[in-house]
Amino acid sequence: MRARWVPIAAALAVFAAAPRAAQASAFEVLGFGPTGVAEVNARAARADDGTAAFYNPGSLAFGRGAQLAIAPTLGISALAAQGKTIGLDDPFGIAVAIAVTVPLEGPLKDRIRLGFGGYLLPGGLLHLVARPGAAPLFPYYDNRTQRLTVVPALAVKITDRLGIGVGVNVLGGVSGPASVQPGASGATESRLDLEATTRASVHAGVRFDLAKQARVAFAFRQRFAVPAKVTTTAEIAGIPLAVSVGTESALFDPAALVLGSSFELGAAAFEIDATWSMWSAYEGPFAGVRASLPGLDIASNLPAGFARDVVSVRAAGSYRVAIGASAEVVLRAGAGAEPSMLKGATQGRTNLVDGDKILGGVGASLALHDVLSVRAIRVGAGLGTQVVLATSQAKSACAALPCPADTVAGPDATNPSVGIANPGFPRLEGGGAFWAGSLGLEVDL
Amino acid sequence: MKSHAGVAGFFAMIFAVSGARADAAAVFGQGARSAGVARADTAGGGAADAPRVNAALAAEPGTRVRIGYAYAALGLDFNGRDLGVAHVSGVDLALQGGGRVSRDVTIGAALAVHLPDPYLAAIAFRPATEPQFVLYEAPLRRTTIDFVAAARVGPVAIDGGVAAGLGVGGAGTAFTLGQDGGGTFADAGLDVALPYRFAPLFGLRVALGRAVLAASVRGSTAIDLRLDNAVAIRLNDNPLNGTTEVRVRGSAGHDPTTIDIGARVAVGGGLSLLGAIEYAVYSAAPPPSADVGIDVHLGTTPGLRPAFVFAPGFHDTVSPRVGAELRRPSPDDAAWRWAVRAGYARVPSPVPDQLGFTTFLDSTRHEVAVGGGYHLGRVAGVDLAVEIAAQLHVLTARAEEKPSASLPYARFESSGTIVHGAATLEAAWR
Repeated sequence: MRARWVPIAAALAVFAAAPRAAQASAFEVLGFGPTGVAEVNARAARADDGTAAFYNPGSLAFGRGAQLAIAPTLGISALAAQGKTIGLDDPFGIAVAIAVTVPLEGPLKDRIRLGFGGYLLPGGLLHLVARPGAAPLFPYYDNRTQRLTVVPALAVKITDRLGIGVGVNVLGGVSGPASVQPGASGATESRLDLEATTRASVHAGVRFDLAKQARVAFAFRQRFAVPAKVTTTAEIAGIPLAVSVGTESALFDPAALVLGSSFELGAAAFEIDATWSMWSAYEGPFAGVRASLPGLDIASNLPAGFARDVVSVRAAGSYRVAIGASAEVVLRAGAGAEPSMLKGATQGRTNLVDGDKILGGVGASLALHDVLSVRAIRVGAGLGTQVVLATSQAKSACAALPCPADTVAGPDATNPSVGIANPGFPRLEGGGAFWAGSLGLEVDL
Repeated sequence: MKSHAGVAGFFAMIFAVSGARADAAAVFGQGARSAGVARADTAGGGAADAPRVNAALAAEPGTRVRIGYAYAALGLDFNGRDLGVAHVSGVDLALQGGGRVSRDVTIGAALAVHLPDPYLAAIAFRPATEPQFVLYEAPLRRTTIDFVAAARVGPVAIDGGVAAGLGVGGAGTAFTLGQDGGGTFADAGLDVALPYRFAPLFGLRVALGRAVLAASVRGSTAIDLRLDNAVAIRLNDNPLNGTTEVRVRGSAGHDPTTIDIGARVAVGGGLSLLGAIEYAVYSAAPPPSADVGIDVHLGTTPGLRPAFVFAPGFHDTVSPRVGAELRRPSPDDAAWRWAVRAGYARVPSPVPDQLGFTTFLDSTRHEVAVGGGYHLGRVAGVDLAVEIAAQLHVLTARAEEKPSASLPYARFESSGTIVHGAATLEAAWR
């Protein structure tokens, strides 16, 4: 009885969570659980539990039974720009991973698996912050850990060596009009039609086992972003105001292609992944604005084309040490490198900072088999760091009107190079490190 | 087994916090079985109905997953013309898992989700003086997630749970229109958060042979909105220089606290009669319109009348519901082959006579429901059943005349019909 209904219940939980799915950014920045943190996300060919919903849904097909995992995760920013530390708005979340084999009979027996990867913020579904245009910030990290992440996935084991899978990556943005106008009573009244709209993208993957000890994997994560836009019209004392503030690409994650391979040597396992992240489609971390007032119609002039595609390389290894007949310790480590996603072009009012990154991680887990009526219980810890190498850029002062877009100006139109208050002037500098830590509890049912 | 159920329930509870709240299910029922008896199934729903009907039903051994789709066409009239209230449609999901702890004790948990088709939620506020069907607009247009856990000892089952929802908050938007040596520029900041909101659920169910008695309580829910918009204008020689701050606060789509008491009697031959009484605490409802605050510090001095928000003064309501279900050849969950059902409910309006600036519309609603199901049996190791239901809701005509002809919409009439259909597929592992 137990073995029958427990995995089904887990499957149902996965299925229930599916439509509320969200985003994957927290996993990309922090890592998914203690294993992902320690192995710097080099998991496309080996993750076959719930974390495979993010790393590679195709690999999910090769797991068995049911696994439930929970991992509180903390990110700490030691990144600094212009000498000031730039922290995370919401540094803490709880990662959840669930995987289960659907209990079917006949030719579908042990062929279909459901997976779920989630990252839950303690206070709410999301917290989107778009900063003023001149504020120094690291766009690679900005807003990327501040939302619910829910990635359900379905995987099919086509043959004993080939598995394919697909996941859905969904989140709701907020957009719509709001108006404030004098009503029938003469007082101001409001009309709002805000919608928490649904945005979805696809995670898909394939894993092929060349041999029992060697695997190759390919995963694709579609670009993801949500809108956050509020258009306000108001009539204040007969003066009409219309202001639209927002962005169509909040909480951005670039499309990513991952090619990974792994092999095992006795108690050791190794993996190397290459990831092509298509940042060139990024429209930026800023909220655009369009305003209409009497005699004036103005829109913000945001920079475009400042980001570039990058290829990162990540490698990881693990080593199993048996402790008696029913326990083992797994030691993990990972390392990698990722170039800056900024092109490095001279910026005007904006002050975006990013540098080449060196990735590293260590971790360990203890597994106890056949205890408390379950197949295994694991506790683990992972610590990772991303060292953002120091970067510097000289800013140009506007010498004459009209000021070019890649310059900054002071308040006096007759002498624009004087009194410049832009925080990145005369030189924009930044760098530092980003740390992630995760503790995890996993149960194999 | 107990530890397994605890783990599964814990994770299910975690997922529950990811959603929003009520509630199309409170009007039409969640799933075709509940819809087919006009929600008279407080004491008679299936295990997968637990989060919406009576949480105590979750303590049923086995595992069930149900997926369905529902559509409601709303034709709500104001002074003889359709007011254009949006139709309601979406996907319903339900999950339930339970197990036996000992010979007399079972435990279980269940999750129900309603997902509107086009979005997770809509937050709509009309100007308070505009005519509006306050119970059928924003309340029906949002995601619903309900999680419950239950334990049954012999014939008595008790439970608790939460309905999870969202608010809209954050620091809001800030817009600066400025000027430097390079010319005018526009700059904006945005801080939007969707915080979680929860409401409690409780239930009790007692099986007494052929009769089952049940009661459930559901806390009130709504989507709270806090939206600030700050505009700063700093241009050379501009009379509008200064700041304008518009603050909007409101609670959209309020669903009241409800208390349901119901009974089911197995008459024999697979026929069961259902009855329920629902008490809805509408008197605690917040205003359905948003409160607006404006601070203006411009070069000119505008004369502004402060915004106002009316207390709606809704009445509590008592709704009787009756239904019948025939399952053949056996009423047993595992042995039935086909089923038919019907139901009726009378739902009074909580909206009082409109005597002032507001024109809130509603009237007593009569609800007639029919439905049926077919038990397919085991397919690839899964026990499958399909259900369908249809409902017709008639809002009786209501005419009102305000005390002064100078008030907005001083004389008006409202009425309407709603047609609802639902279909579900349930898979069970017993």
